[in-house]
Amino acid sequence: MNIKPLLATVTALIAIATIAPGRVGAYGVLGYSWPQPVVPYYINTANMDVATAAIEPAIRTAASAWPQQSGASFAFAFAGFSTQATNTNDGINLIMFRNASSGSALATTYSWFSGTRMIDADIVFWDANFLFFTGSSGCSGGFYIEDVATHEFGHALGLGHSTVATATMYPSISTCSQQARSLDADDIAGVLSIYPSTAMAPTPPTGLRVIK
Amino acid sequence: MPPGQVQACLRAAMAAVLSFAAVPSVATAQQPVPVADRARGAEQVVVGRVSLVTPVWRENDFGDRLIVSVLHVIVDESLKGSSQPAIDVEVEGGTIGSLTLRVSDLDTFVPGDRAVFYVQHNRRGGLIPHRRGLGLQKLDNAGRVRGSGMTLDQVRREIRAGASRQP
Repeated sequence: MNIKPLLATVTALIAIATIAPGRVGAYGVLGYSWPQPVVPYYINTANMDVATAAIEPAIRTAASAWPQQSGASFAFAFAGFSTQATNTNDGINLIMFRNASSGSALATTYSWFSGTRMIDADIVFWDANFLFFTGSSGCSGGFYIEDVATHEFGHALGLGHSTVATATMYPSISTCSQQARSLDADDIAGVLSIYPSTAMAPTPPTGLRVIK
Repeated sequence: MPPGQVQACLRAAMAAVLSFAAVPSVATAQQPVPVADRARGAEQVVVGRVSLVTPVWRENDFGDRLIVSVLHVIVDESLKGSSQPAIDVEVEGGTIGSLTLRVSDLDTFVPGDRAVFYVQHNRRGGLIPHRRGLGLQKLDNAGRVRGSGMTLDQVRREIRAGASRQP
């Protein structure tokens, strides 16, 4: 029995299996992006679980996670409060809480786009069946807004779900988890694929003559 | 190397392969919501194929003005509720002209898609997915629920078992 081909096959399978988690688990992009580098958002803080004053810092933490942790050339910027409780394509990117449920979804992002240009994004937290908390302590049987919102902002900037279990864009989250507020390398790769880092050197123009 | 030792090495190596290969599937496993939970409270559960998708502007029960895709579903089988040859199901999201709305917790459909639809009436009398995203289970060509491996037979059994447990 010639065992060399068999051993080679087994060795190759081990190699494939070892790298498979990195290759199989990967971010998804939705195929659209914001044309401008800074996009304003508004918050309707009315909710059933948390003091309204705590909402804005929690949402800000989530929004800033993407540019701060990835260096991406894109940011959501807090623009003010709103009492608006409905969402549509009105150019107002609104984050709100709704006394209703959506099955097992904690929150939903409504993304409006034309061609590949994103034009509006609204985020709805489903407040009826879930308890929401803010900060990093005190959670019991619920979910931190910082983590859920970081995931939803990922959708709002053009990312789909990831198959990497430790990624912010993984489609499920455990109760009281604080993992999603910290971007995984997979999330960073995803956002940078849409909005390359500002630290990257610009591509030099081509076809120009140098005049000394 | 003696043949027995070689075989032992190969078995150990294959076990290592399998344990490594199992990591991604375990890591990506979703917590499935039982079919009986999806069906509970739904007015109708049908298995059907989408024959037409018509995007329209609609206002939902919350007052959101959205693009909604009206799915004309040819019913193959009714698993709960009234039996009709076809139903129209309104799913948020779709494209009108160059404008598209994508809703992160809802599937998108094209003609030919087959699915289990758990539906209820909204305030306007239209049929919408019961519990939003949980009311839609797309089927693959083999008749399995996409992403779960669950067969349509299992879905039928769970719905019937759930119905028999209801008071």
